[in-house]
Amino acid sequence: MIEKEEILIKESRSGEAGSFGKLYDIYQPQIYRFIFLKVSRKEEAEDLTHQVFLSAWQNIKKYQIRKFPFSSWLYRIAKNKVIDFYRTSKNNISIELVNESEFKNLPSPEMKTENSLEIKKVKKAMSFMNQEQQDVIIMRFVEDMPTKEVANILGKSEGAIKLIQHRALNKLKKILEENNGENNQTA
Amino acid sequence: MEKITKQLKELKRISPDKDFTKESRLLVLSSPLRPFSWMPEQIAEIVKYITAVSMTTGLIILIIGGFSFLQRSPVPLMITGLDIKALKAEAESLGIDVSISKLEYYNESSEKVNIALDQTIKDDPVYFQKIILEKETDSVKLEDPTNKNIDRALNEIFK
Repeated sequence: MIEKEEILIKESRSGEAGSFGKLYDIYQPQIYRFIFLKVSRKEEAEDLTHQVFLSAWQNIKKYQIRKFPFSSWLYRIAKNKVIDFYRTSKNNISIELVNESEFKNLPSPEMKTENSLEIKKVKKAMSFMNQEQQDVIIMRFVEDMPTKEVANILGKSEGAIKLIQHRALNKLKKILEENNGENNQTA
Repeated sequence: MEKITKQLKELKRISPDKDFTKESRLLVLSSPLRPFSWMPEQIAEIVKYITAVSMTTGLIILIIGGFSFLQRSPVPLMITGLDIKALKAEAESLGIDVSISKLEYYNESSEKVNIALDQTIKDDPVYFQKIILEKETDSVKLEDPTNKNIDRALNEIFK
């Protein structure tokens, strides 16, 4: 996979749009997911995802092939884009405003309703965590990335990532339990 | 905790809109590539590399220079005062200096004594007057060193 990826990167660097198109197809869904889970609206996630790939394509000649996959570079760009987004837009929209249409690409109609509620619940809980904790949770548990790669993307040691992960999971558990308690009371 | 990880796995079902993906892909790939330019990071990398190389070279020169200096001097760390040869030479020169100074002293002192004696004779002191000298010469009998008065006194005591 990495070898094939290296060929695609080399071809992209020489200006072959088709090769970058293949890299786009491989990594666009996970970069979109990463951004979507960190911002409130689908439109914002789409806009930022587009910016990430545009920036990657325009600066592909600067990219240096290293032992980590190409996605590490894309995640770093995405992370910076989200930081810039929150810095420039002061209006942090509540997660409550996320509507059901944002989950329309789920596999089957039955799963849509059930999972969209579940996803919304987790996404809301995640919004109470800081950016660093969100990054670690998404990369480690949603995308199943190894700790070493997450550490490389976030510029931290593996030990630090494990610590952030531990704290984030505990926080998430607590928030979800509190939310469940509130929901049971209202029901 | 398992339930949470399972819930988090569910988030993987989130995927972008197909129309958006199609449109974005087309827009990205149709945009021109930026030409490679020397960015501050690259300049910083070069500066770092040059600094490292020059510092290493300097260190190597210093080590080589140090070794060659040690090889050239036989006892490089010896203090000048502890140099045996120098000390010996200094001691020998000191002995010569002492004897020269003694000779100088004797010369000077004999001259001074002569001057003093001449001066005394010229001044004609009491103890050099002829009458006194003759009187003393009579009482001092050089051929018979015994004093008869003392002998007589001793005999009186032991009687």
